[in-house]
Amino acid sequence: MSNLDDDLRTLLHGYAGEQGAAVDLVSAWDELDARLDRSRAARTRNRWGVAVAAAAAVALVAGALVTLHGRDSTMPPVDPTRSLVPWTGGSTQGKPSLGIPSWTTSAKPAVLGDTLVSWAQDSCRTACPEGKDRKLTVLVAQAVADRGTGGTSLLFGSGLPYSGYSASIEALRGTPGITMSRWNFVQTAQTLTAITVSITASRDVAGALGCPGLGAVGDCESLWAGTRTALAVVDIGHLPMAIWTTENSGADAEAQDAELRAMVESLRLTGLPSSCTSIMPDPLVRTDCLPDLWRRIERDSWIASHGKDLTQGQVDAVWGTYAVQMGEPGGYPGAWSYARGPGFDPTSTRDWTAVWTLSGTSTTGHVCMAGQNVVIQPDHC
Amino acid sequence: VSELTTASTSADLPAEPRAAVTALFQHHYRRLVGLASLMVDDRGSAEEVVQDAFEGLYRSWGRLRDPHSAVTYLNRSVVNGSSSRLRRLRTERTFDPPPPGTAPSAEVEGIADGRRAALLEAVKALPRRQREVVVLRYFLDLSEEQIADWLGISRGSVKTHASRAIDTLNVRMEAWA
Repeated sequence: MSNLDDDLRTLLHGYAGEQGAAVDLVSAWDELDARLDRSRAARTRNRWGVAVAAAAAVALVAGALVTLHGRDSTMPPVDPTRSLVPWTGGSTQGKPSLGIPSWTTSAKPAVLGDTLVSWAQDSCRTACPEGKDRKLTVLVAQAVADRGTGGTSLLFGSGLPYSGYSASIEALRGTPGITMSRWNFVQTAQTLTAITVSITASRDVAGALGCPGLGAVGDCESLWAGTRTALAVVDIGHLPMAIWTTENSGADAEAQDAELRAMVESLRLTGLPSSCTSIMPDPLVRTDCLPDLWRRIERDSWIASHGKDLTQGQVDAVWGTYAVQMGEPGGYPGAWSYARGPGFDPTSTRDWTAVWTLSGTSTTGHVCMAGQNVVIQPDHC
Repeated sequence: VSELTTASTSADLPAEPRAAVTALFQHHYRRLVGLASLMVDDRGSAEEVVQDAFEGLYRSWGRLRDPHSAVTYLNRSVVNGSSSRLRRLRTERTFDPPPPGTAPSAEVEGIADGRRAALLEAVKALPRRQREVVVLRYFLDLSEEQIADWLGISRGSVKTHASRAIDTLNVRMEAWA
């Protein structure tokens, strides 16, 4: 293969990676969401034009009646417990600060290490009188339950990727007794990307919401029959942060979703090196964040695998998108280089090595290939 | 990358079209904008092409024989949409190189700043068809046969376009040899 062939591949992947990384995903989703709504509405109009016209007429009459009789009686009362109060958690995984529902001030938080904190308004965990059972949980998930075997497992050897956690939630769709909304996108106060979904359960699913550590399914967070969960997954780097509220499924779903959205939009993370908390499209990488870069390469490789065995070339291409960004203004501030180890073969699925040199410090990354997963570590595979 | 052209997401796609499109958006939107950006000249146009592709997929969902072909559908829609957009402009556009300071400050896998910018400019200045062939070959890793199928041209034409493109790029890059 000529140098020009190599250069073209590198150039095209790098340039495409830059352009993709610069996308404002939240705005893009909002635009597409609206287009899909319009598309669905157009189809509905075509099929049910007459019925829609009749319904619109009824709605007009109903609206006029509402106006005549005053709007106040139709407006839901403002729920004072939906207001948010500031909260800052202490965690070695990054200190989160966000607004949480004011009812939590009268609840004693349950804390497990530095990965889980939760508040419960009532002791009942399943169906309770409406509005009397609320739970808020903030979890930096370390593992997901392997629902097939009843144990817990890490999707990755050295950290649960954001996408892996999201996939474990998405896998609940279609489970009997579980109804899920579509995913939405929200940006945190620091413009990190979060995705949100609601899950209504008519049966228990043990360990469905992730685990604060390795152990038994009983240590993991579950879905309970008769409840509705509004959940957000925030990409905080090498691990996912999940924030969710659980209420009786008869509670005000719209208000619950709005409350979660407000919480996520207020979220700030401090306590990690700033370069480790910035997520694409603005990843900065420092020497002390090299493992964080590796986690991102692992995560993105997993996404790129699409369920098939990864090749060395695919992992290498994922790294290439970060390499381009490190070279951009605001990227890595010092000198850096990357070298593939001897015997690199882009079509091979065998383990290999690469050497990252950041500001004069070289670190060999052993790239351990494991099917659709890859683990990069300083030790031999 | 070639697997991206045929495979779906690693997890099974949701059966409900809206949920499936959401999952695909989450996994593929950025990559597809990257692909479109290689074929049209600005990211705004690229995003419009990709939005069109997702909307088209949503409308066509019921007609997909296999939901797992959705990623292929998206890739082809983006390629076709980019091509149509450029064709509508009726003129081959040339690429404005990025302003100084936006190129990488370090070497990326051996491509120095100046050479990278020059090569990018040269690719973007290729005639539309040649540029499409180069992107499909070097970005999506498609075979000549697949490229011919995607672009609706003969395999011989693919060879010709590829050969002319490489010749042009070699000439443009002689100064950097």
